[in-house]
Amino acid sequence: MRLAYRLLVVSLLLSMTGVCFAGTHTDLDRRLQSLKSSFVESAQQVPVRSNKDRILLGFTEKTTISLQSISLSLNGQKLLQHAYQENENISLREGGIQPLLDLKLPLGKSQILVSYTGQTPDGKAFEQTSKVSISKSNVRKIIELTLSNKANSAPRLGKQEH
Amino acid sequence: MQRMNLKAFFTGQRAGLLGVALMACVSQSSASDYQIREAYFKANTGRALEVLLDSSLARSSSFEWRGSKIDSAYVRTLAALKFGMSVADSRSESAGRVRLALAENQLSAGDYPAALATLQGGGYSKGLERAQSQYLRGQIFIHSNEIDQAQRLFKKWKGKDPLQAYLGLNIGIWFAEQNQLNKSAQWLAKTAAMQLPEAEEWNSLTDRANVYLGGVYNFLGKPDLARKALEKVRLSGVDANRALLSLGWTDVARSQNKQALAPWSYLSEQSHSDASVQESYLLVPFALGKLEAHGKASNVYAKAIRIYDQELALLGKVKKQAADGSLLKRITRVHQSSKATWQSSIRRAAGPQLTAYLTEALKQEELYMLMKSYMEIEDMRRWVTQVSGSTAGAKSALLKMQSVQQAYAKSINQVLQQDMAAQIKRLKEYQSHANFSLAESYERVADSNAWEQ
Repeated sequence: MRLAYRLLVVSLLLSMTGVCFAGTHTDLDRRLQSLKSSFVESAQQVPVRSNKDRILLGFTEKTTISLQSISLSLNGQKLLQHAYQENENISLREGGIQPLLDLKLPLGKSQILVSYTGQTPDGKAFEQTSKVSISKSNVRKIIELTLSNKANSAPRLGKQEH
Repeated sequence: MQRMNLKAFFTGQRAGLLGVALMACVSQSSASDYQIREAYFKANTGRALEVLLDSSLARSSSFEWRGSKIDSAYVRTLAALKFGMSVADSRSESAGRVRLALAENQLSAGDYPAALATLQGGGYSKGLERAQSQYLRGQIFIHSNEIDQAQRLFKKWKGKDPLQAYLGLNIGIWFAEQNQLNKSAQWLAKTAAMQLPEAEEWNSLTDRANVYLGGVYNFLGKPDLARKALEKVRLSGVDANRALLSLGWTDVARSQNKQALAPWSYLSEQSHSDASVQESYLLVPFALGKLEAHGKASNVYAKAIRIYDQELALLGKVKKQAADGSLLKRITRVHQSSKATWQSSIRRAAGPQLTAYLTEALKQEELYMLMKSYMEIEDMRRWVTQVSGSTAGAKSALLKMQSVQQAYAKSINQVLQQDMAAQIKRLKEYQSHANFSLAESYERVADSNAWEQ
């Protein structure tokens, strides 16, 4: 929610410079509203189930870092590269968990290589790589990677399964 | 955006589709902690539609974070608001948070009385909730030009949440816009000096307060104070370029033309697409001219003219692609094959050279909202295509979506062309100034050569 406050600062400036949007596309917006309502109404009736395994990323409550990028490799094969926006960092610090990947993990033991870069609150850059071991059976896996740090220290990566 | 009747909202008389879904589910068994936290992330990062369609979240669940409780009803309400839908749910355990999200939406839509009424509809827990309610009230006062009320609220702020600093900053900006510069400087200085947590968000806020403060001191003819404020802005922050521009002017005001060269030269080495950097191409030779270094100045003017040519060609490209619709089509194609937010799709489709100009254009609220709506339809279209396939119902829904989406596309392309035209005009003015100054520099070089001979 805090990001919105920044936007409010911006919108304050816009309103003071005479930029006005409200009402310009009213008819179009009305059509969109009706479209959205009927869409959500019918789409909610359709159950969508996934049996894929999932990899998530969350912070612990005291984590203060800002992430810049993350990349994941499974058994040497690159699966994901993601660059962070500020609103994603804010949401992570407010308790949100980011869905990173939906995938079919191979049965048995595998290793995920997690590389991430970012900054501590005092502006120090960090770049780390951690290995996460996974043992997959027939049961669907939901793995949460957890970053934690204290004050201005670099983060540590943990793992928990749901 | 539709706005609902507030009285009905809080008494539950208008239980819309979403409200019914939420209320029906309040007493059911708990969803896992990670699901609600994941939904919270999605609602806040441009994936609100996924939350609205996630049936596994239609159960009462919550998580506690830093002493505050966030429940599924609140997250769904937040997602609905972010997706631009009206909401109806009054049974959330996080009722205070629901009111805050709704009031924020009403404030953004310019409905200040409704936003104030929403905020006054109940209590708030201590900590972040209370701070947010105070902040939003302050924003409403500022937008309604009730600045005395806003100042009183700041002075009687309850609790220690740093959100108070945002209010201080906005009060300072309000005074600056009203040309009450001394009062503005007082508020901005107070905000810039506040002890805030060590985090990017708060460091950025302090940077912004110092940039404004430097500008205000420059207007007040106090360049020494302006320099002190501007020097505190971090080079790594988003306001660094604006600070560097002002810092140079501060030095010129102090007749320190050589010193002005340092920030402007640094700035001129940054990305060519940034508006502050483009301005610095004129300022560096301006300072060199003041130092009688006309030869060097003419070299920089000549370089500036070449760079303006390159950038004008890029802007012309964006304008042409907006006119024939190919840019938006490319962005849509990239978005269709990606799970990322639409903002990321724009960056990927535009590439590094055009992204800067598109990002600048998207700072316009009109274009941003049009693009957001267009992409919301795209997300709905994608969902229908993937889930319902080629059934008659799906085809009919897709046709309706296509019609509304095309109307948005037309508006987006028009606004984008206008914006590019404005940016082209600005750069052409810079270029014409550079051409004129280059000729002047050549004359001065010739004069000094003649004098030496």
